[in-house]
Amino acid sequence: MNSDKATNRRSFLKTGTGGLAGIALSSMLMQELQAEAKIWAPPTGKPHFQPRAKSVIWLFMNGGVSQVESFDPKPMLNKYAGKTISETPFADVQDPKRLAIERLVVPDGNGNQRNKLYPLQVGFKQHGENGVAVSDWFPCIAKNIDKLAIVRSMWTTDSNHGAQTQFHSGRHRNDGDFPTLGAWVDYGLGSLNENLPQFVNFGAREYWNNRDGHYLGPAYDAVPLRVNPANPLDFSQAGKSIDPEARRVGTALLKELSEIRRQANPVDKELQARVSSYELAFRMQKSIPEVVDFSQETEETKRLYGIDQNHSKDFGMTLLAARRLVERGVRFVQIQHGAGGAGRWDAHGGLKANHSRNAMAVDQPIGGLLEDLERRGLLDETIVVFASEFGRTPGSQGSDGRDHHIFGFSVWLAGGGIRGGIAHGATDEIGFHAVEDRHYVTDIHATILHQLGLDSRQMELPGRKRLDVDHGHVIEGIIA
Amino acid sequence: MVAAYGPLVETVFDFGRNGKPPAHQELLDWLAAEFIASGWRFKHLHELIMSSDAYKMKSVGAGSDQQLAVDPENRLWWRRETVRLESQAVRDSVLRLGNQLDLTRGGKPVEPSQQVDSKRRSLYFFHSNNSRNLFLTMFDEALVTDCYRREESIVPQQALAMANSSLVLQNCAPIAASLNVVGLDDRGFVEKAFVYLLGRQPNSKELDACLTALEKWRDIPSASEGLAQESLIWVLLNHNDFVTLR
Repeated sequence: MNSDKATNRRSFLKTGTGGLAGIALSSMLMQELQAEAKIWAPPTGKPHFQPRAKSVIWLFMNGGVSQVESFDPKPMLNKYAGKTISETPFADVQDPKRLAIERLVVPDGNGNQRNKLYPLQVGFKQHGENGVAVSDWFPCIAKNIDKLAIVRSMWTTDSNHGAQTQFHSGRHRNDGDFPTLGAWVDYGLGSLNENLPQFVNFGAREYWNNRDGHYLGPAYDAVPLRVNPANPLDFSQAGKSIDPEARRVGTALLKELSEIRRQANPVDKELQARVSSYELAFRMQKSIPEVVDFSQETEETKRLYGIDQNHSKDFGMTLLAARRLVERGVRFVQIQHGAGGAGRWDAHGGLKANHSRNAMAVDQPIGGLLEDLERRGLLDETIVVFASEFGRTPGSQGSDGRDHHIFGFSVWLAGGGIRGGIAHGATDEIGFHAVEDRHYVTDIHATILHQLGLDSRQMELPGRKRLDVDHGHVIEGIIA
Repeated sequence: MVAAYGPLVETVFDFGRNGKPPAHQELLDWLAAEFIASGWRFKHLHELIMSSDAYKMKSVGAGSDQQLAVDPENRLWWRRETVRLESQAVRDSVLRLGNQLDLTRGGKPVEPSQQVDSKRRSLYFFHSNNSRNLFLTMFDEALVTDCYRREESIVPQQALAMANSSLVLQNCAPIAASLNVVGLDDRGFVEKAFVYLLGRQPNSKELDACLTALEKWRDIPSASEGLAQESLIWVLLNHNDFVTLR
């Protein structure tokens, strides 16, 4: 085992680190490390500066919403319908240099250039004081246009549905797994309600691994909830019928045994943390069913969220639960609409039927949420975000669909100190490229963190240097 | 490096300027050289580490005031760190304690839809980035992008999984039965259960608390015959020491 080779290797290493140069270098490194160690401390839970908002309701439309048939209507598509892009005055949108931001994961039949312009599948009208154009598929959201700041100049880089992950973490999937926005908020801000988790998720996530915390740790993963009073949270109900009195005696004994153990090991942090996690678990077990129990809500409120209509019932119930959560101090409610396959909005074919049906499912609930938050005085402190991983191509895929489109798409924000009734940034005349005030997805993150009073640079962990693009830029133009 | 032992370099994910230097550079170098000399055999390396005195140290910090004063965070490894069981080991242990674990070797992976009722070792569960076993995800699975290291999180969902999952609830009775209670009085049962589930004897306070609870469970009018002992097993499965290695 201890061959000559090994001995040589050992002595080489010894000499290598024992030399003068080695000593000087390592002491320099040590100093630098120590300097950094002094600066870094985990977040205190207090905002870094005066916040404008306390909570976020994050509405994510899985699959990719067509920007031109939602919040960025383009009449030029009707004018040049059926023409190839190269036949129109907008031929330069397909300049390969302008398409080079794309980073493909897997080449497949989707995510390709679609050349033949496809006319708008729905009309649009101008709404609100500033006459912002919104498609007729979203009348209830449009009615609340003066609460909204639409950002029409979004871009991303992944033309596969991994862009869903990218929109939440700010990183392309090929870069690895990174904490999502909700995890950063959870990490940075203290709890407002000790009976509830700070960061919850409704709806399945198809293109990511159901984790949010990543290197921040699983404590910052969203707690998955369901709007089902019988089973709102995994393992919140006993998997076998148990005698309540037996359970009461059991939890009391568990508490007593933990306390005996804690007194014997006062420095055991894990033990202490586990004891408190059991306490939070039993509190959550009581408080969460109450959040998804709507018996105290009026019929009028339920109608406002579209819960009386079959097509909008599910999403309406989720949004009503979201309001009840932020009302109780939950920081980040992450909601996925349309899980299943690549996402329900993924209209490669039959776009008109697809988008009109999906819009019916979400429009009334979202409009209702905005109105309900406002009348309860919660909109000032709650940011509502409407987003999807990318937009859809101005050209048609097949006879009646649109493909994935990363070069220009729309997102909107409302509440929490965000300006209302404005459209910020712009795409070109056919909705292809974001051309004015371009924003990468992390600019949305930066804006939200800013409203919550958080500085992402102050939350960086040692050994986890983030890039400038990860931090993004605050979209000043939409802040009131 | 070896499961149930901390790494010799704290920041294995960063060997750059922000990484921390190893606490025992010479040991690390020696192990590396030994690894190469053995013909790159992991088995040899694991055996070497696990049979070392360092690996076999106790985790208790009590009575080590001098070491605590010099190195309170144990960076130099003067004692063993306590370790939370890995997710698979938590599940497998619950089944094994009641002699329910299916020890069959090999075969097809267990499909997600069959996992709840399966008694096969967690190792054989089908597992992908998008499809994971719910119980196992509660207890920190290996991170594919972080050298397969695992977090040791303590989150309330773990408490709910241990308190309420059918896995735990359905195995309380077989575990109580496997303690072979014939002829054991309450005291004997509590002591045996502690050793069997937590790996140690109860102290007198713990013993008293358990004996009192056993009486209370028996006083419940609707109590079934096994209720008291099964309930005690439930409590011990939820005890911090069940998921902790010392």
